[in-house]
Amino acid sequence: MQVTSDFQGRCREALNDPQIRRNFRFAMDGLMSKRRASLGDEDEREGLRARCAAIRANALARLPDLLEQLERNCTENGIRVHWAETVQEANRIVLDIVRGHHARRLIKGKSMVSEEMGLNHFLEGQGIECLESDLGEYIVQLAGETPSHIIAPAIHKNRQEVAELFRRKFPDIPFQEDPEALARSARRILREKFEQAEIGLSGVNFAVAETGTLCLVENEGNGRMCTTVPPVHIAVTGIEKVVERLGDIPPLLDLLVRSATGQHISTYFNMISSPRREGERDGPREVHLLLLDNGRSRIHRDAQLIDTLRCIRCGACMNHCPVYGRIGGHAYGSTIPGPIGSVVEPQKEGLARFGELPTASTLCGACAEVCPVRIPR
Amino acid sequence: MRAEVHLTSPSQWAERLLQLCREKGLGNLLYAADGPLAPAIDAVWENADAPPERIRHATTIEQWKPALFADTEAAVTSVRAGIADVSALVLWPTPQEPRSYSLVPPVHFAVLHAGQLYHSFAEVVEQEQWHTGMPSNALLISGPSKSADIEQTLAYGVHGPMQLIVLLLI
Ligand code: SF4
Repeated sequence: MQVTSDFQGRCREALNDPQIRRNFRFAMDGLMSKRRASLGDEDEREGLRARCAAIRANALARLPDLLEQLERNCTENGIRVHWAETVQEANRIVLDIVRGHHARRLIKGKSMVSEEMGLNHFLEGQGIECLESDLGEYIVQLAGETPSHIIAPAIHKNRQEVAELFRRKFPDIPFQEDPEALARSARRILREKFEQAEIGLSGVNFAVAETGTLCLVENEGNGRMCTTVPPVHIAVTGIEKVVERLGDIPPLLDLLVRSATGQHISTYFNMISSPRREGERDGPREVHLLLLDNGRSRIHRDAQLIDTLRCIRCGACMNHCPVYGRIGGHAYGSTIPGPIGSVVEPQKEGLARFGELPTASTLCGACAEVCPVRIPR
Repeated sequence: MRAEVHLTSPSQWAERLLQLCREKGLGNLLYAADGPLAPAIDAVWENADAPPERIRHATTIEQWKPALFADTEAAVTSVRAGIADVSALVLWPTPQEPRSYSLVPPVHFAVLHAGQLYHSFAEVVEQEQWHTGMPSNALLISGPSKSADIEQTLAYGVHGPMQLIVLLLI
């Protein structure tokens, strides 16, 4: 195969940008030390990792069954389930729902699958406003960029750069560099948008087959806003996110949050099992669950690659990767960067585009050491 | 997690709530007129001198969304359980106490009885047999809304409540 030099070019560019390197180093060091502090007890940590790896491996071993059960239980609860083989199909399904409601304004919580779909771009091309509401995603959208990290999308920017961006986009707001002041500006701008949005869209962290429950982990409350206030909620996720039982959720949540940010627990854990029920006074009247394949079934059939589908998107492998920490997320050019992206993206998007990504490794094994679900072992 | 916790008693919490509303200079308070907290709140408010205005709505959110977003300064809700090991509250919003009460107003007061404390999330799910029937929305809440999206620096009050105040009844 002819090796393209795009990736090498982007790496060189990132390595020559001292600001990018400083921003990533600072952020990665912080995230690593927070995780270490939170998972310091080795016996406890390894016990939890073994348990979570087993939960995810079990779910993948029974994937077709569990997906059927999930569909059955969601449907019984009043959630409408849609299947998409490709991102084109997925975008079309979202568009049909939006059009069915004659909606023009959609507000989004964080969703890596919607990034995979290129949903914002697609909907905007159809004249539909598609606004990010997670602070990091909002910053990235304002800047016309893509996320550089799956947990902290705007991690490549420092506060001065964010402040500069706000000054450019909102000349009426007094210039400020304090992160909390910037966050409050975003709050004021987006509150009105939550109130007026006709559709809320979110990702899903875990989908529970046993009860037909969609689980979302977040700190800001924008995910809750998107799934509570607009009359219609669309949840988009990959088919691999299903788990068997509700009892699987507490250990997964625990290890996900501690691996990702070192918190004991996220500010919010939002479990959605149905649209607004008879007599309830709020919540969406319609909830849709869109399950995207986009190559996942193929990965699932491959004995060597199936384990990569265990991923719970905590970001720890990125935070600990000596390559990611130096080149940053954008250099990869893929939706998911870092070690897990390097393995999954060539499978999903093809070797022609991402065949080089697996070379972004020093073979140090740091990613395997920290992965909460023990990928690749 | 930066939640405020105030210890009080089952007979005095509503007075404490009023006092906290005053200390924080809150002009109004949203609560469920037909919910479990109403009798105690009404009793205290009716005997108080110029208390914050009580906001009650027995209608769907669609009837008063603009006021909920623009004019509501605080809300108080009951709580289904508390989780000790990670300091989180469990809410199962009800028709009387809808989910937006703990989300949209800038201040959220949560009333938790010490008897409703569990050790862990796993224990609540297991002992209460959640798998036998989930509500439309179940929530764990551990603090005020926050983000570390800018330079990994914690900023509070991004989209959800800027303050979470727990009244722990013992
Ligand atoms: S591969 Fe493992 S460490 Fe990396 S994001 Fe997924 S779960 Fe986290």
